[in-house]
Amino acid sequence: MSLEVGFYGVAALLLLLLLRVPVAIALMTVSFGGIAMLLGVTPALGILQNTPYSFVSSWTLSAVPMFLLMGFVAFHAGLTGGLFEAAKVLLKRIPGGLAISSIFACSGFAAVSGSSLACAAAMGRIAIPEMVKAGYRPSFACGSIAAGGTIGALIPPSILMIVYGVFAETSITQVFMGGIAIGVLTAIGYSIVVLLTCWLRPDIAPRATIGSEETSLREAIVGVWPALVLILLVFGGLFSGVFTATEGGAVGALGAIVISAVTGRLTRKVAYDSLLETLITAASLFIIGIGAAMFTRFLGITGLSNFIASTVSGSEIGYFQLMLIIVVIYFILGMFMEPFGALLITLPVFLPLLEAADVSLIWFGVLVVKLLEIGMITPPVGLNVFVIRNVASDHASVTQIFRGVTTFLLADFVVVAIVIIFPQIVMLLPNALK
Amino acid sequence: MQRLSEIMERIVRLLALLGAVGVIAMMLHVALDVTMRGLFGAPIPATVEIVSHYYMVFIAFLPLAWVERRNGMVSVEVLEGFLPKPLLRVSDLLVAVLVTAIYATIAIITWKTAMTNFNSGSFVIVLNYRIPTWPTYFLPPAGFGLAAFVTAWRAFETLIGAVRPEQVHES
Repeated sequence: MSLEVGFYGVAALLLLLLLRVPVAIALMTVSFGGIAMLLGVTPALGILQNTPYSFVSSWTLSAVPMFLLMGFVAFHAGLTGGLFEAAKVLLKRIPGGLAISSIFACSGFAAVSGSSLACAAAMGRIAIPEMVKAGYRPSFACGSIAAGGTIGALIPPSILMIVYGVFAETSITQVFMGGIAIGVLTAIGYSIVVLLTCWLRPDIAPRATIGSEETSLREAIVGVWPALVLILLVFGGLFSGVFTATEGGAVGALGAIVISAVTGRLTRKVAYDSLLETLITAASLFIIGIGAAMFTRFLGITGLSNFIASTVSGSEIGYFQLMLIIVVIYFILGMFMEPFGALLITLPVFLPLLEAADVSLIWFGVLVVKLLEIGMITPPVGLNVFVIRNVASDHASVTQIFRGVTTFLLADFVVVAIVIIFPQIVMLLPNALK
Repeated sequence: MQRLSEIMERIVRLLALLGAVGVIAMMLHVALDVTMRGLFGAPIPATVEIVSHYYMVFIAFLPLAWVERRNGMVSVEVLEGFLPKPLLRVSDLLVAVLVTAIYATIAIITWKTAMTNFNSGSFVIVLNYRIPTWPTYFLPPAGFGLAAFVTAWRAFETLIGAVRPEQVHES
């Protein structure tokens, strides 16, 4: 009975989303209705009553608005624009240089941002209009940044990795170290997608290289120093242990403001826009988070997550089959759930399973964040795509952006396969640090 | 009616600005805490509690109505291109009514939580400091309640045809 309600709940959620109900409200409606059916109206009201405050009043979550603010200040003041310009200088002779530059700029920005949303938002604003102007198909331009944004949560700092590290009782710094490898792998994978697209479909991504007269090397170096200082501040503080990742958000945001002020870029408009965008992004994400937390409770009550886990652990399976099942589960969860919810309902099931199978928990932390980030760009609930839709509404609709992301998803699956077949690639840095 | 809309706009903006103050205060507070701890070994007491029970609650709930006012909520637009205009208007109306119902329900029941906490004067104790937590329990009912007003207003406007679907979706 409860299992059935769980399946119906997932179907109802899909239907509501199709009927254009906002994601947060769809999650809340289904959770409320489902729990009311299973346990009665009073417990269902209880969930609506308690979840908003308890979800939001969280120290760990406070890193979200802080890293968002850092990203928006860095963007509006043009601190991260330097990364894009510098990458353009380095890659100007390569076909598709503009798209590849934006992917590498995402990787650079990832080093000062703990969430892929801030990364996608910041890079989307700069790179998408420029790519569209240069003749890229808008869906491809938006797709490349929605995907490129996922690097934001792979290269440290990463809020997802911190939550994992706490839960799995493993070294967060070592998971961070592993994240560098998978972040770089992902960037390379996406660049190969751009190159192949230029080669096979020049109508989607033009082969033309960036004009050499556009930016000089000197200008690029001058333009990139504010971003480098910010990266050093946040990385230095994190790896020397001066502050935690949560605190790093506030220090980084203040750092971004100070650097902007020192370089004379902190206008009233920059401050105002950064603050209001931080607020609108944070508030609209928190409300989805509240909905997702309710939905997670609902799924827990139905036993749907337990059912999946016991089906998996009940059968005798080897390493590759286990990994295949885990990848498929996260792929499906990632379609509907925000990453924190998906991570938190699965870890209690997977961690004992993985320990029994003698899988490194540091390695798994890196893999699971990668899988959750794939969920950020898969329909119908792909938060990165929604963010790109918010910052580039003139260029493409949500559906078009999802279409543009497809080829990058293929690269993601190759990266996941490589990491599963050769776990030592990810473990190289963490092992060297030990 | 125009006047009412303007008043609502002002309230909604004022609350959003208070949220922005929360963002700045949180940044300065945490950065100062890190500096004090790093330089003098004297962190600001109860930083974690103040961040989670005050700043975070400010940031999450105060701008809610403003986000709704700007149609800033995330939804999936798979059917958007296929629905004819009249159906789109019906869909807008239904969505606005559902959203209003959910917001209003949450506003009413979180108000009860707020009153319970107010009556018991709830607080947390951190290293001999007594931090009251009851005041911010009033922010969820305020935020959701005002958001419900905004979406009810939108439902009304859609119903009388003051807002056509293309205005909603292209704004």
